[in-house]
Amino acid sequence: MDRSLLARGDHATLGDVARHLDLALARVGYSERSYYAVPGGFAVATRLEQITPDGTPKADPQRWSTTLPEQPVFSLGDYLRALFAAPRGDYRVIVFIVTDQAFATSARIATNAQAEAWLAGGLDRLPRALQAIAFDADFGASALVYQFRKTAHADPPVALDNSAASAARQLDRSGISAALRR
Amino acid sequence: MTLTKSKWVFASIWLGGAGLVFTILVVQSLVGRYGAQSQEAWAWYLPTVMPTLSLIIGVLVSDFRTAKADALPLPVSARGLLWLGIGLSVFYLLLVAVTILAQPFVQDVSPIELMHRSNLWLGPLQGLTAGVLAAFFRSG
Repeated sequence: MDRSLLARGDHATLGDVARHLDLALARVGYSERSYYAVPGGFAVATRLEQITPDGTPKADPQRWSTTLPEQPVFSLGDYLRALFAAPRGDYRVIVFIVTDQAFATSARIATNAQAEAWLAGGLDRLPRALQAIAFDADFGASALVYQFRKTAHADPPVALDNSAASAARQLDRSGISAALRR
Repeated sequence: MTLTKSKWVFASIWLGGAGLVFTILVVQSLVGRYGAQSQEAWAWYLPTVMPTLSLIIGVLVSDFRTAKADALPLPVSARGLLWLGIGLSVFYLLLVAVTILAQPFVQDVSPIELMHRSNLWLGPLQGLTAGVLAAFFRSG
């Protein structure tokens, strides 16, 4: 992610970054998020949300539901599609990481249960000790997008190795990029 | 109507109805409609039609092996059972088909849950239908 999206001015702190990120997420509907301390900085995880295949969030209340979306039946074609096609739900969790340390992503795939637990497991705001740290040139920011797909009502969402839309495109589609630029 | 012909009427109704649902389930299983629960869908379908279908096929095979004359008139006492059996069979198979065909209209309930619920009315009705069919075959 571009650093300039997260902080304006040369004297920003991690607290400023967290507040800006918080505000941007709230503007585009992510009212629930969870903070974690990570080596050299912090991470913010959003709630598991249901999205369209191109990464646009579904409308409320479907957005925050893990049940499969209903397939509307208005014609014979709709009916046959609903009867024979496997239903499909796409889900996503976005984790923002702001740190002054380099890191690599693990080869292990996060499960849906883990991704859902991220929201409950963290803090509601950035601890005061971290807020005071200067967001200097050593800091970088990344957005990790964890995508899941569900294809049957009783099956849990399964992690996707590669999603069709890139992380940058998903940030655009979610409205977060635009909200951060405001 | 002869006795043999009436037995083939039952066979046609059951093979047609069960065959329609069978075909739909095969296609749904191939496209992954039930995900990892395809086995549960088949575990619902097979006991729903196989006992009665086996009874009908068994009677037809038995007739074939014993080479019974196919022009025996239907006993008067069996005529009521014939129409009752046809009515119950058609009604039962319609309910089985509706359990599958209604899936697109009841999307807040999973297809497997719908199948489990349908057992509440299909179970007793299947017993009744098979009983009438057995009585009809015995009367012949």
